[in-house]
Amino acid sequence: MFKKSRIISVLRWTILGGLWVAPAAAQAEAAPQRGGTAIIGLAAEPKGFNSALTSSTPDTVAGCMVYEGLLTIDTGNGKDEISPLLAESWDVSDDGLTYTFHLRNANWHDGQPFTSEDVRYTLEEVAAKFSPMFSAQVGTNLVKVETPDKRTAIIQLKQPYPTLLRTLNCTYSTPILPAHIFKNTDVATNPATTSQPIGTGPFKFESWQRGSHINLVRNDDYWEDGKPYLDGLIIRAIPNAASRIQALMAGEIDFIPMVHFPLNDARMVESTPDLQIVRSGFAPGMTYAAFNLKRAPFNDARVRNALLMATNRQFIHDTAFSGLGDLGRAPWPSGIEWAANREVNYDVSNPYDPERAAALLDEAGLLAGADGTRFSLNIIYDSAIAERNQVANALKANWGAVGVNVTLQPLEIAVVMPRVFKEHDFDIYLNDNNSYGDPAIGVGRVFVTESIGRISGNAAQYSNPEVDALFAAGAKEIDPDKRAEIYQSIQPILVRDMPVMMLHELSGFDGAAKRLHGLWGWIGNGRWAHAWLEQ
Amino acid sequence: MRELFQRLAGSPAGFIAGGFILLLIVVTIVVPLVHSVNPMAISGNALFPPSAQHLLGTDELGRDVLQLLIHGVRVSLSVGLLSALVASVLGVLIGAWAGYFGGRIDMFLMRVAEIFQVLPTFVLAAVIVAMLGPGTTRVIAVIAILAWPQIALVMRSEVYRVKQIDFVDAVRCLGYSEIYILIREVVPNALRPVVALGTLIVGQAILIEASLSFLGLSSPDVISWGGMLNSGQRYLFNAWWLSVLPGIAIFLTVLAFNFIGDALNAALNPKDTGR
Repeated sequence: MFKKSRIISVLRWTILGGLWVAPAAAQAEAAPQRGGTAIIGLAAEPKGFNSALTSSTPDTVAGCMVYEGLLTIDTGNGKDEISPLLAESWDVSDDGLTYTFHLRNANWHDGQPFTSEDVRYTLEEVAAKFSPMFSAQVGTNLVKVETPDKRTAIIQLKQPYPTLLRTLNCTYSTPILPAHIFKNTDVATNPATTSQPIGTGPFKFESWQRGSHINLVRNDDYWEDGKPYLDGLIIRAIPNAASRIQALMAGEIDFIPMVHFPLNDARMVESTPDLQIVRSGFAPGMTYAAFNLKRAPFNDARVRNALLMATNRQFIHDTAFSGLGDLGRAPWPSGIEWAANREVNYDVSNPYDPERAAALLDEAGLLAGADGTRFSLNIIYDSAIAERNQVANALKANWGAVGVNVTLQPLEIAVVMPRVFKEHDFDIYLNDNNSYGDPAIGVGRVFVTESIGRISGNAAQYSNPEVDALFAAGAKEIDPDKRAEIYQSIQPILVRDMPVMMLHELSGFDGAAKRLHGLWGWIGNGRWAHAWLEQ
Repeated sequence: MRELFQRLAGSPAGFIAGGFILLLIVVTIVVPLVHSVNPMAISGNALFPPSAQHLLGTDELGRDVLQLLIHGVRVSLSVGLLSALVASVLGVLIGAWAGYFGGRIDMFLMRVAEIFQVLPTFVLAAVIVAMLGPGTTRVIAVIAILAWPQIALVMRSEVYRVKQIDFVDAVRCLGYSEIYILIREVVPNALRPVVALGTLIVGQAILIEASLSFLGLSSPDVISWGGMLNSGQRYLFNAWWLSVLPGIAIFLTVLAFNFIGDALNAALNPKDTGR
């Protein structure tokens, strides 16, 4: 009797073991499974759902589950291709001025049909006026959006803008909004922006328990057959980075998107059996330090060059970023390969060399006082982002070694933004910059005169007519080779003038449970319509 | 005085705790003199576990944890001692005045003290520091302002008791002013329980400072145990020494001050002769 039960028990364990192994073996070509609810952990609660009004991550994550853009970007396997979403297909005229979009047959969550009028309304009356990206990039360049029939929308531009297609997605602040809900209302306070979004997306808004979580449920009427796979989504805010990671490790949440996933935990998450880190679909970005060019001694290029030479970028890369991503070598994200100038390299122009840095500071007249201090400066940064605190501490130590006394000022993001970009009350500002995959969108804003005073714009208050002219020319050049040449010619100027110094090239990683599949290979936070949970 | 020390030494817990605190003070003063390394200096040896080279390991920027802990003593002790001192002085003055003169002023001061007592100390401290920004002086001021009522209430009742003893009337017959009597005769005789309570406040203050830093409400320019806990907790799974060691340091220090407080209380209590 005893023996038999043992045999059975052994058998049972073998079978169970087999079952347990099976999904892993099948993972390669695993068929998506229907059902389940995935839980997303963010660092902050969204303020609303309308990414046309803000580029803030929580609003974009929550908003782009419900709303969709005309297009998306396929980033799978290292690609970077514009891909259809609400627009089934599109044609571009040879002069680069007319874009014709053929729209999909889709419905809003309230049952109304999605039409070209929604596209016209959104682009002309919302995006061109308020969208942080579309208004800045296309805004006054937009002549009109024509709607010859319900399924066709035609965008007319004044000047060619080859980057237009890249801006037309929800993550990049151009979701398509329901005209019948928004028309003749205040977009910012409309409930469809703040609390009751009605979109075309894979998930419908269900409820929002403020301070706790947002419930989204499957849109059974979604235009893509059989999608989404998930029954629903829950979006939770967990402000403390350590608690967020621990929630992921404990299986309480399934996904933390790139911006809110602390990179210094990446290695730990990677080594946990049930978890994975996945290269996110975010465009190349950089961590940079902006100098306040209006303040002495940062108005002296020698001081800026010296501080870069005093900075151990390798150390920052190894510690704060756990060796993920790459060292900053130019004031330009090298991930936009066609536009990167390989001749420009900090390792040649400003290698890590504290002695040379000290000599250069001497030359600039900043001699060390009796206590070894040359001058003092403050570094301002967003306190919520874990790795930025480490970067700031590394700078403090590096610069302290050449006699620069550094005070660190981690502040709430809501305090940092106006203080840095509007009031310009800082010495050094540490920030991340998203290139959005094209210099015309995400890089130019850091350097051009026009974006001084604009949030996430030109903090350094750098103003060089030559650079302004080159960025303007690059934005409207249709010939890709000429475009690349223009952008490559900007980079040596940016190293010479050094309004900002790039510390690190970011690679975004999402942290997720291994049972979450199908999401990756798309711009932004992935394509949740295709995401599924292994059960 | 001599008798007090003898009685303190008679309590083993108080004796050990006193020794520990003395050690902390000595270490804080002596180590920077002998070993003048910048504890904030970073190195490539990030997240090294405890070893012969780094006795207590290194943190995420390659800084030596032992060095950081030693330099952190300064913040903890200065916050603890100074805020307890300020709170005691405030509490003694207010309590003595209220207890001795009574009347409307007493009524008013005690209601103010009660208002402070019902406020949730830590939440209030967190709000004040979050609004005004971090800084050691600010933290000391906030803790002192929140802690004085405990002292004031004890002081008041002691002064009230002492002023009814016959010798006070005797002094009064000698023609001294009321203020003189209060300061020279009553207060010294009412101070005993305050000393013990003040010591307990040191422990509380250290804990509040650590908690504020743990929540990120401290300047990253200053090394503090709570701040170490705050940055260390992110590595709880791969570098336990970053959170466990500062945690132990806080625990031991607060415990030591509590033991000293208890021992002082016992030693100063006239009813309990301990024999």
